[in-house]
Amino acid sequence: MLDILSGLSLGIDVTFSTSNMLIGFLGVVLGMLFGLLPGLGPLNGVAILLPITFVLPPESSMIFIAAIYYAGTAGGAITSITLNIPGTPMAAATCLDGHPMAQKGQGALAIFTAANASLIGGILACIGFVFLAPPLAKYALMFGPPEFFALMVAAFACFGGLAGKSVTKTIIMTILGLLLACVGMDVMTGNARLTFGYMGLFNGVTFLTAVVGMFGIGEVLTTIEKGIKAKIIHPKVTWKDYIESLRLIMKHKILVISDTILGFLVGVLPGAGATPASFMAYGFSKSMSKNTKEWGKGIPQGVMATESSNHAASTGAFVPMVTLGIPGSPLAAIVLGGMLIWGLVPGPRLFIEQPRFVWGLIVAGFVVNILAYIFEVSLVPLLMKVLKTPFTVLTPLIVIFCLITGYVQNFGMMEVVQVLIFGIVGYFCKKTDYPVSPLILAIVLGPMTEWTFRQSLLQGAGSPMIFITHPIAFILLLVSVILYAIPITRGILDRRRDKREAA
Amino acid sequence: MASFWAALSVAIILEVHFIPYTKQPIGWEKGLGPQAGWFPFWLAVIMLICSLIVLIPKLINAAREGLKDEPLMSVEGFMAIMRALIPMVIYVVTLPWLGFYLGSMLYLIYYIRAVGKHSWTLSLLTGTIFSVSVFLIFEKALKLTLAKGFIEPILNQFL
Repeated sequence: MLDILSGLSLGIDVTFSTSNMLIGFLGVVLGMLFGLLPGLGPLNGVAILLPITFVLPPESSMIFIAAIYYAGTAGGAITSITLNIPGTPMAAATCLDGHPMAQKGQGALAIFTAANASLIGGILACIGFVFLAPPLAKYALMFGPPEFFALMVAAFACFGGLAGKSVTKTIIMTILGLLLACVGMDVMTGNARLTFGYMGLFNGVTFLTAVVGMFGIGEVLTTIEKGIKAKIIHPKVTWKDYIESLRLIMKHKILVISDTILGFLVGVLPGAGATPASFMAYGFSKSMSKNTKEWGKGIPQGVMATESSNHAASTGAFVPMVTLGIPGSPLAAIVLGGMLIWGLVPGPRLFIEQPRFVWGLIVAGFVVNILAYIFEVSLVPLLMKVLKTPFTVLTPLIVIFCLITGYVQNFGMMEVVQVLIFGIVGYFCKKTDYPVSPLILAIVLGPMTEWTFRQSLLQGAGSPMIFITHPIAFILLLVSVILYAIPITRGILDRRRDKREAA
Repeated sequence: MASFWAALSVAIILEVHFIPYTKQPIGWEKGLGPQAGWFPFWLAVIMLICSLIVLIPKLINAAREGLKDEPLMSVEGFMAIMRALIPMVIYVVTLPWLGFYLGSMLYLIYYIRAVGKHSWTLSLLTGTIFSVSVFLIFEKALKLTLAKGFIEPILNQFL
């Protein structure tokens, strides 16, 4: 308890400096913009803006990223409610009841309800983080290479078992990511690998070129092809709606709190993240509700369920990242890659070696949630105007940012071309249902995966028995096998049943 | 897409094990564990197997029922993508000569005017303001030098 209090006071010290507060505010504004624009979410915002942080100290960078993250998640709800297009994938479930509310003329009420629910979800999850992360980190300090290798495999398996539609496609993308991580110089022997004899590839493929290519250019191409044609419903915004929304939250506090807990736990599991959490919370609250039929027709509880859980999950996803070095969501995977560039080693030692960073991040979580809330609630009419920004102006701006990001990796044209190629490949992957997140996760964790694997084998004198004699590693690997096996066997059973029914 | 992955994994297997110039030891050293090429080689093998799992049922179906003409995208969608992609590729190809500042300006002006069908005022303003602010942010504030192309001597006077 005393550790936590001294940690929090350190965090307050870090966060409440003038420059960090300014950076946080800037992050809130930018994150809100990314959240509002349909087709782009906090994930794309963080991917595109991450390079800016490389000139800042790690604590400030993390505050900036957290601000984009929370404000983006909050902003996405406004788009879902008024346009019926999810501003972010995390807010997709908010369309279900948010948009019908707007159609009934309760748009402002829906927006305020979403804001209140996300504030509560965000703050409660930050409290959960404070109590869960330090003991978990302490426990993980006992881990050696075999345990970490098993953890990485478990993270891949979670992405495979929970995230994608087809396990085979998820495995292909994971392996592609691991292979891309191998390109360039082998850290243990110095051999040049997978360069096809081409010196330009000797430096390897940096994860940022893949991230901005796939989540920046790939996403833009997907949106261009779909074309956004939707009618905005402009709600009238009054203070009465705000007060009414507060009353509603008080009335349904049990729903909000239980969905927050659910969202937080789903977020802590690697791979799942905020999008599935919000759908699960929606389904859970709907089934617990007395008037199930009202759901989907514009009921405020629907908005509360999705928005409290997605914010809680966003925070939960940072728990395994800070304590174990395993990201809990695709976005956390990008942040993890960023941490490596900031010179931090994600994992349990972070609490001991970088207390300023960890506690700064935790306190920033609270502050940024409140900042985003105030910004959103006070500026709803202005934010609605952002929705009118034409996509044809945004497209070239985003493209240029992505390409510059590629360039500054190495100050060479090689990376610029890589961004473009990743963009086109990413577009086709989306088109053919190949999930992109496992690839990003694999590129980020790839070097660590191979290194811990080879370290473990050195430790075990070349024998793979070491993964069986270390109990934690063995259990984690067993769980991974089961996670992969469940969807595969289910697929086979489904096919058999289909055949039987057809015959 | 599956055939693309299959081809890629075959290329990687060849790269790691068969082409003499790039080949790596893929073996398992006694007492030490895998060599440099072990990891990529076996990953590529698994990827090949997985892409065949996706590909083969499709091929069997195609052989049984004949090739179905299901276009991957609509004509309009394809045209929209091309309108965005071609200027992007030209921008990247000309970067070494035009540099980021001039290139971005021209790309923005063209895209907003010709593809977005917005007014000349908007396209010229966005192009100019964006390029100038990127210049100020990157060269002045962050001290990161981006490629400037043939106008480098002119731009350097402003530093």
